[in-house]
Amino acid sequence: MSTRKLITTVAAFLLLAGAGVAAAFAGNSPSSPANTVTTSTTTCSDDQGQQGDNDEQEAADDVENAATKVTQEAGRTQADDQAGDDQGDDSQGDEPGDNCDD
Amino acid sequence: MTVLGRREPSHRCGRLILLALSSFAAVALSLPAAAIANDAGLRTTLSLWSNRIASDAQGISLSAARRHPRRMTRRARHFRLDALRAHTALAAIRPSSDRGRRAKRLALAAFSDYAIVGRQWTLSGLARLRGLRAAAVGHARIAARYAKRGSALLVSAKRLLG
Repeated sequence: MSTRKLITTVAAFLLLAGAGVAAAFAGNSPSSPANTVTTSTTTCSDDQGQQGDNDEQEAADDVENAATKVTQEAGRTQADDQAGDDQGDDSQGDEPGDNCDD
Repeated sequence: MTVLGRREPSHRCGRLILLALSSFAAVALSLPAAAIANDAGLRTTLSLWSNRIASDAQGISLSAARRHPRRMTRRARHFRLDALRAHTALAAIRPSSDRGRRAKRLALAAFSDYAIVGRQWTLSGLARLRGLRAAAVGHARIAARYAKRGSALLVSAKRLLG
């Protein structure tokens, strides 16, 4: 009787362990972040529907363009647009992608 | 007594079969999910996070051009967080080929560089807000250097995945 209990317990444990491993793999699978990103890009991306083979190249170009722009503006002596910048904290949507901010 | 003696080995055999079937079931449960984590999954994840990073970068570019340092700083923090999230998502994937593994290494390095870029942009924005122009330029230049390297790594990763 105790042997039967032991075997049943071991079998149940193995099943639970299997389910745990499966859940871990599922959690690590790309579907989770992918779904999250899909939801976000649907609302935030300026170029909806253009997602294709060149996403990485476009990302690389956009990051480098942003880097150039940030460097140029950092070195410029012209005063910052305080009014517009302050307004941006309270209102939404005067720059594309504002609703993406936390 | 003799009947019981004969039935005992068959019961034991049945239990062993039950145990073996349970083990197979446990392994089988884990296999379908594991099969998802391959090169295709890596390609999809890389593409989706690249798309998001591109969107973040466009916003930063716009904020910088409009001379909105506070907003640029906020976006830069967001960019960094997205780069770190991308890194975490990619780290969890197990590529199925050697090329996939190399691509993963490159992509991880790319997003690590992008996280540094985000940090440097944030520092640059903060320096601008405090009127420290030299510091703002310095951080922006460091960011540009890492952006160039990260972008090259990202494109190389994509090429490996085909």
